[in-house]
Amino acid sequence: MEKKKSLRHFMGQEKVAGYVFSLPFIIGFALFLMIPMVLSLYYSFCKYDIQNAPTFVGLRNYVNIFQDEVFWKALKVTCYYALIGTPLKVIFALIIALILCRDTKATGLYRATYYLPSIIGGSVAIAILWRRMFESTGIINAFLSLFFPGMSNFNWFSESSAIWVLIILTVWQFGSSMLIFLSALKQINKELYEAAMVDGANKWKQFWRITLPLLTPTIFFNLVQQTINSFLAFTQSKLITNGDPKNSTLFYTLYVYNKAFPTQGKSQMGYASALAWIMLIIVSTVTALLFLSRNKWVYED
Amino acid sequence: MKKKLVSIMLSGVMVLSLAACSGNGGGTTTSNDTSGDANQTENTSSESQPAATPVDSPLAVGTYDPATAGDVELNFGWWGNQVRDEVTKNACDYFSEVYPNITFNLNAQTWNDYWPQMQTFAASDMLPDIMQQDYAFIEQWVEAGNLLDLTPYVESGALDLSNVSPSIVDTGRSSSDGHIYAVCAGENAPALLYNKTLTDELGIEVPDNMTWDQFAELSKKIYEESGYGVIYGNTNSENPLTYYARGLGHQAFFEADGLSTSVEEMTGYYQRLLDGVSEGWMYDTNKIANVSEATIPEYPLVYGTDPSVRTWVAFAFSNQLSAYQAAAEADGIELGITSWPENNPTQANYLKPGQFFSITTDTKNPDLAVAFLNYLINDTQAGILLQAERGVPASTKVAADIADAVGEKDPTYPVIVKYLEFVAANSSPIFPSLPGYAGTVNDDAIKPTADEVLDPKPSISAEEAATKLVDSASKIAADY
Amino acid sequence: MSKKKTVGAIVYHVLVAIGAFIMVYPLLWMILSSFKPTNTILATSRHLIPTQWTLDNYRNGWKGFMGYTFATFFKNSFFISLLSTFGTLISSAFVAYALQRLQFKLKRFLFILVLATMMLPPQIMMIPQYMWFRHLGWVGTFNPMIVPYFFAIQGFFVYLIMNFIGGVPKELDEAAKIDGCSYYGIFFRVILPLITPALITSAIFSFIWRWDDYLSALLYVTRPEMRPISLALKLFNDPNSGSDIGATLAMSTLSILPATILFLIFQKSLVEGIASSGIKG
Repeated sequence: MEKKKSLRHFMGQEKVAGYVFSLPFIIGFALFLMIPMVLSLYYSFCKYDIQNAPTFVGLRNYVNIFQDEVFWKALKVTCYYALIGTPLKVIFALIIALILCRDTKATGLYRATYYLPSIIGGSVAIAILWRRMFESTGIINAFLSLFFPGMSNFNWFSESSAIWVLIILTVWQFGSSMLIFLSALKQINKELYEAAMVDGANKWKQFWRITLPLLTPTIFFNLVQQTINSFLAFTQSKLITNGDPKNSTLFYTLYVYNKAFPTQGKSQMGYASALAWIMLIIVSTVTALLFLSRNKWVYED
Repeated sequence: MKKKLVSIMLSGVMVLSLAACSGNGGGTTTSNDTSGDANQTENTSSESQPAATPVDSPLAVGTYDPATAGDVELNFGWWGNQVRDEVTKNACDYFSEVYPNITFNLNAQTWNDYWPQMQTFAASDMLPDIMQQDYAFIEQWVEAGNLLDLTPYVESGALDLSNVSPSIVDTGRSSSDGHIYAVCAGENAPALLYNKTLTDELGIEVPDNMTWDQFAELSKKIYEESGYGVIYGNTNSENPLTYYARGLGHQAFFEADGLSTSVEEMTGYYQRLLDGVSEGWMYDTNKIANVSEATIPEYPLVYGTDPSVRTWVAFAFSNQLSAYQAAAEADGIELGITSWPENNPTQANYLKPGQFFSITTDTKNPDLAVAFLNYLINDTQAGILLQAERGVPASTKVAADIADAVGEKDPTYPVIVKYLEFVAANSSPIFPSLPGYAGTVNDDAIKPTADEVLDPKPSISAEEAATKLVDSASKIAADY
Repeated sequence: MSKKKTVGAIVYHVLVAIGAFIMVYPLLWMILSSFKPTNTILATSRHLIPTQWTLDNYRNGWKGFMGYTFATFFKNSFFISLLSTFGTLISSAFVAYALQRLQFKLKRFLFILVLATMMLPPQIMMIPQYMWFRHLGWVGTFNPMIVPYFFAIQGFFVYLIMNFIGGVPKELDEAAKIDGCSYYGIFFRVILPLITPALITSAIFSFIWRWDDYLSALLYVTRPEMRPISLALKLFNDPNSGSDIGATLAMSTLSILPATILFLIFQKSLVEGIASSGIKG
């Protein structure tokens, strides 16, 4: 009886409850993530073709990477894609969420249609279609040439513009960010607007004074999430351009994958692991910078 | 009951009907008798007592009787497509009808997914018993110790290659120890597929055994009159360069320490690309990127709404004719087939094993796997079921026996057979299989160099490109 | 005034509808093309409406591979996606609550780990994870595609739900505490009901991601009858042979149906959420 009571008391403590609630993650991380991570860190210091045992080579992979032209190219391409694609996508998602926030009879349908593209982005069908749409005789050029006659034969897949085909694809798939914005918008307490209305604030002012500040945590979330996603983007590049032409659409992860699993030749798993760890450092730095900026503009009560 | 099913199945097989009647009884009853614990005893008896005479069986299984294997599941992996999956499954199902104790776990992937998966399986000793192989990669898999040495089985008669021409058998030998590790699943050859409808319209005849200069002249003319171009040299594959080296009389393209070709020789190759692009008929990198070569129905030979995004040829392989022709029909195009252009074309051309079957060292039933492999190679019914989808069967006997049955289903089959006969008379033996480092050269040297040369405004001369290729190949070979 | 309002509404609907059309054009293309004869799809890719309607692509595609129809692949995908989504939701909500509301020593450290899981390039975890799962004897089973998700290994969902718990006023916790609720009680009685929209959002994402995941299926599925949709669809696209574009599009169309239906069912409760559930309380 005593014992039971003290157990209950023990479990009731805040710090204990904290660990109890975190337990799934602690176990999951230890079992399913940490072990593979440690292994891959070890591989990054090895020459490893996944068929023969890894042999330790020290920092050689890292040294080679920094002299690898393709590494720098892939990094550049990925940064370009992330830094342009992410803000565009988040802004789009926010604007459309604000528009679709109002309730009309057709809203459900609208939301569905704006959301749908984001669920088929990785599919083979989209890869086929995207090529059809952007080829020089495709529908995009046909449409653009109505306004800019010079565009009728524009080559979207040339070295300078191929990356834009992929950026447009990612922006088109703003649905998941939009969804998060929509649910966040609904969480905003209606009384705040009522109070503002009483104070005589118009819609525009309400947006800047209530909606936007209260959305900043969600904007921040989407920004972080989409930035990370852009850095880790893989499928689009693999399916649609496969890095061509001349590596101008070679995403970093695609380069990692090609090194780890070349369709021909031996796997360079050690080199690929080192590449992945460099990516991890880059992404965490970018994320850390975003978090540092958080206090400056994210509203918290 | 089983017996009845088997005989019904077999009655349709004219070629084998006699052997079948006598054989199937023995085969199935044995399997019923021993299906219990025969598994263990079998594993130990593998190489010690080679049976000299073929088993009395309705199927061509060689000297090992699968009925004595007990209940076994064979794993069989390949890359392919819906058609190949279907025909391969049919061949396996038929085997299981005769030997109900043998079942199959079939693992089909696309080319791109197959190799990562197999590498992962290899890393954990989980490779399938029978594994489809590509000529280019055999050496690498042998080096890693993943493939079973088939030489003892060939010598003992368990794997019968007597109807396969020695030059084709040799393609499955490792250049390091001369042993056989793979058996050709079907014969193939490089084939230039061209838009015959277009060339007829233009009144142009495409001759066999073209030299490169003839081809360039022809392509230029076709480009000027119709706008159709040519895609060449942009792949991460050694194929066009190997072909070029063959035309020069080399005996291999990859040698132990790098390429066989000199910088001067490679300069000639890259000069072709520079000339072709500057004359307009050859696609530059930007134009190549604008069209999709990802799948056959999308290849600009058979698809495209405007001549500026079309090609008049595809540098392909003979077994692809069927798929290309099927895609071309939507466009109302008839395709022609001839040899790849090269100086000294009859020396350059070669017969190539389309795919191989290998048995992996992870197999627990090597004898059974060999018997099954023997069936795939030598059994006429298996040949009919496999539809020559992987190329013309390596066994000349099977190839002859199935010609009518397959030709009826696929009208391009007789064309392919005829072309292969032409190649047989106008070719020299294939180069030895590639050393392990070749794949890395393809990805890291051949493709990037070609990309630079094929740039719309190339900043590299043919000689610089040649130097770059030769040097980086040597470096990759040294690092390997 | 009311006339102005009607005009405004019409303008709104016209603009939103045009936008919607542009957004779904590619989807419409996919769906309508799947009813065209397969060899005309590429040649007529600029025309949306088929001149000749056919169901052949659905028949050919549904046949699947080697005797296993798409019914099998659908079943597998549902099994994997539903279970792993369920696991993701409960475990992530647990962890999110701890990291957002409770004070304990390792909290900050755990939060950083959660973020770190979002940044791992999955391609690189493939091999080491594979080695580990093989050690556990999980290769050839659905376990690697289900079990880990019961342990909140996707930082995204933890972080997403944290964000929403952050939006629930702390006063509600305090009030419940005064009423004698334990931390466990607060979680189940106060927090969980209030974060329904976040849970639904997460459920949709998780379901779709697991549905589309083919990299792990490629490694862990070793038998044809265990294939999920994502892997089966890939088999249509072999670059070295003539792939059946019609069948690819037809099966792609079918494969996005579950997610679409899921979304249409839940989007209503998604947006109602907290707003109507009496946060004033």
